[in-house]
Amino acid sequence: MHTTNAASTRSHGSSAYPNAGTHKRTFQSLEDDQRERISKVLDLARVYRGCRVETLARHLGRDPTRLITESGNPKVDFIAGLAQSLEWPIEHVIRAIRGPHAFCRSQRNPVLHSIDTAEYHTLNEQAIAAHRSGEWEHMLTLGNAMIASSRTPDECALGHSCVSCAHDGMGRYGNAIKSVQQGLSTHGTSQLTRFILKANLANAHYVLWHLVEAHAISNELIQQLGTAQQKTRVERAIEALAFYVRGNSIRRMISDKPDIRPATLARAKSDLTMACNTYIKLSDEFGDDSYRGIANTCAGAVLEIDAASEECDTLDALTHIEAGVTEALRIPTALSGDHLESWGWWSIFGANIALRHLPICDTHQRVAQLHQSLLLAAEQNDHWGFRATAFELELRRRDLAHEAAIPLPPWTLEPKEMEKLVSLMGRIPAFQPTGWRILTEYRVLDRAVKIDPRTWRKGLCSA
Amino acid sequence: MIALFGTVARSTANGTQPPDRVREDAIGDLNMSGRRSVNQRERLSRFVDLARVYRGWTRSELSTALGRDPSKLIPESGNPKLDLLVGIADALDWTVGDVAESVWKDPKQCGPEYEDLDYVALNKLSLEAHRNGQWQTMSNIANAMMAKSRSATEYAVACNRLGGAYDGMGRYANALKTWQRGLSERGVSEPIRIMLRGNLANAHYTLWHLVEARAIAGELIDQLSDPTRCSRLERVSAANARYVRANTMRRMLTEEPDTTPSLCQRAHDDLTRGREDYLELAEEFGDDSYRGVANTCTAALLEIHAASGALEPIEATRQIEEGLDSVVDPSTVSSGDQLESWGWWAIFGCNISLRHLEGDCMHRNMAVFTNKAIEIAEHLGNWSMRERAFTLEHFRRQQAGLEQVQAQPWPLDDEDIRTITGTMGRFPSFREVGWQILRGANVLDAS
Repeated sequence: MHTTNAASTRSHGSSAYPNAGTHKRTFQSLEDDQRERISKVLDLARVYRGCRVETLARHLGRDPTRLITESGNPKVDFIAGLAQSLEWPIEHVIRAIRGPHAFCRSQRNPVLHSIDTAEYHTLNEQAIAAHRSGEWEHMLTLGNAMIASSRTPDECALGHSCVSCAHDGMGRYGNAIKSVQQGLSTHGTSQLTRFILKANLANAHYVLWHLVEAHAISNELIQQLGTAQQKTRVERAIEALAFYVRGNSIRRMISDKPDIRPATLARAKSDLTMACNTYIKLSDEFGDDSYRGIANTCAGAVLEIDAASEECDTLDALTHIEAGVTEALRIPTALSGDHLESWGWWSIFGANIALRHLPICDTHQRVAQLHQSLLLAAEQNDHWGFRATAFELELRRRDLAHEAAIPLPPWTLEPKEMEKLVSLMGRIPAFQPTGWRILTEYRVLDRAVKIDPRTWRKGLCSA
Repeated sequence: MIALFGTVARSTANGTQPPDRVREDAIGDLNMSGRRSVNQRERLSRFVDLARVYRGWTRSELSTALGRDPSKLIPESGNPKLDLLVGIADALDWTVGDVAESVWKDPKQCGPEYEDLDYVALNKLSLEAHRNGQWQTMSNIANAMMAKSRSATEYAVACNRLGGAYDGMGRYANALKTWQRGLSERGVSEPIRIMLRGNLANAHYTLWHLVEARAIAGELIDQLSDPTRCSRLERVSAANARYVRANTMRRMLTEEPDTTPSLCQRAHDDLTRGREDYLELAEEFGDDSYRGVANTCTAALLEIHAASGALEPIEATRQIEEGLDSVVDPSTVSSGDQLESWGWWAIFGCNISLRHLEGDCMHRNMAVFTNKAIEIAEHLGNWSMRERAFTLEHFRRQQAGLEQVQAQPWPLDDEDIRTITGTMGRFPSFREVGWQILRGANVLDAS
């Protein structure tokens, strides 16, 4: 981050704050660094407010002579007070206090040094390999190295895209959006690079349920790509992804907009069919089977659209989905990558149909079964988005069952499930309310803390 | 710019409002009352439990990991030190900001002064607070509205108000998130969705998320282009969307130089139509704020014409200088929106100078325009304009360095430092620039 340098030659003698670096040493300790940084942030807050040290100290609830503690380790009220004084987010104040390297995990990565010296195209190839094998941390390191070694705007922007992809793989979707936005703000990139980044941006917004953004960006991208007959493989893949995102964004809007018009649903079906067909053609032409997996997802999404637009019988659609999922996941290890993922999506589409169109008393067990299939796909694919959806679906099923006075057994989580839930809350801030509801309303946390950690660690119990 | 709140649309940076500049007596004291301390201890305790369960650690193992005595893991005050927060965040694999915010902020906090009021009364109060530019009050009322809402539409309206309050305070990232929250509600009425989408497009534009801004504005324009869409809200929303889409493309000129002709053509069309629409609205509803936005469109057109080659850049800057003659003393301009538009004239003048002019001519123009923009931004308390003015002045100084032009050190006074600091908190993209300016000027060392 952008804080002052620990090796600054600044004299501390004139500081307004006692303890702000009065310990002159040959080399500075972490505490000294932190104290010095706090001193600067306090300076900034004081100047920003145009106030005296005493006033700032009063606001922070501190003695003016003890604003900076000997340990350089401030309390949360002090940090929050500084954030309030500066009108900064708390996170930003903590970053400024902790210094430039505190948040950069890749700095601690021992392989970084060898990566530093590699050339861009080598890094790019390694990143593609890391992507295929799902080594997200490594891909993140490679992406950052790509940015550092880039020599053209396109290389730099695609480095950001790589970083975004790594964050996406780790389920850090907010970071994924920020990275792709950084790529798009690179000046002087080619149109093709911008198209790639825009397609990724639309998808990243879709993943985070920013449906207005996802729909609008994919819609614009489809218009920009136009109707030219001769498109390269990359352009066709971009277009297919744009249709996929636009069609699925409308599908997701069905719940938000009960008054959604039949014409809109028809367009979603058309988009998903278009995406499906393009992915099948790409698969056939380039022998890449992963495209066929995405095509299968599109086919499942069309079933949900058909059910919503009453183009098919709801029960038939649900039964069709259940049969497909059961058969595909009979031997889950036989599937991988996009194929396996597509059946996770089918589980979600089935649950959506059941929860939206059928009485909960008739379907809650079927939803529970689809929930299990989704969890299976999530685990096999290490898919954080599926894990979040699985918790949300189960919460919704239980809420509806509760409203309908259907008795269900208590919601218990095994240690591994609890681990996933807590991790999701960190990865997807928007998931935190759902997470807290599960932990508190269903008393999961209360039960978990009462269990002996040794038993808990062995995974032999649930809370 | 205009934020949409129903039948009344007004600038969020109205010169008639009290300035939002923080003052010494406005800080207040932090509330560390007994009740807060208890609540905070409870929240901290919940995080400690969560970390322990997540890791499968005993209390003693967690204490070791956090470098604490097991009996003193949670301080009596409920006020943890930074290293404890960092330790908990590391144990949970969360960001420390998320943990700190969750421990510090009480999610159920709702001012007692609003407990007895119903939703309708609160809504009225929020509009009044908006009119008076009392953003913190408006934010408190909007939170109370959320707590009392009984339908998706009511909740979304509360989100719209809260977003507006954040926007007024210049907290654009918070405004964006709040409007997104409103849009994620199920079953919100169409007029409210239109307002939220218009505000969302504007928030993305302000934060330089140009792809999002243009795309959302474009969809709104398409949706509202139907001639039956003729309510005041729909017409204002369409004009606002054109303004956002055009200005987004104007900003894209720097990032996408290969598409300059097409961007210029489309921005020209939107700005021309947007200006006409705003002038019509001003005439019909007697609302001068619309006239201010139309005036901004006029200057944006000058930047577009200079970029497209339709107008000599030197002539464009001459016209801008001539226009700015009418605001030699900003305090004489009665309408906040008119004054704001002149601030944008100055910013567009900077853009033209930086993009097309060179040497002394560029530096002279830039110095004049940035000074005027900063002066007007200060007068209005407009953070978006401050961000532009300081960023552009920073670019000019960088350019001077590259050209090896002897430049004077940047003489930042306390007011400038305040502005830069406040802007850093509001624009993530400005943080690096802000630190560079502060470091370059050695201002913190001197304080």
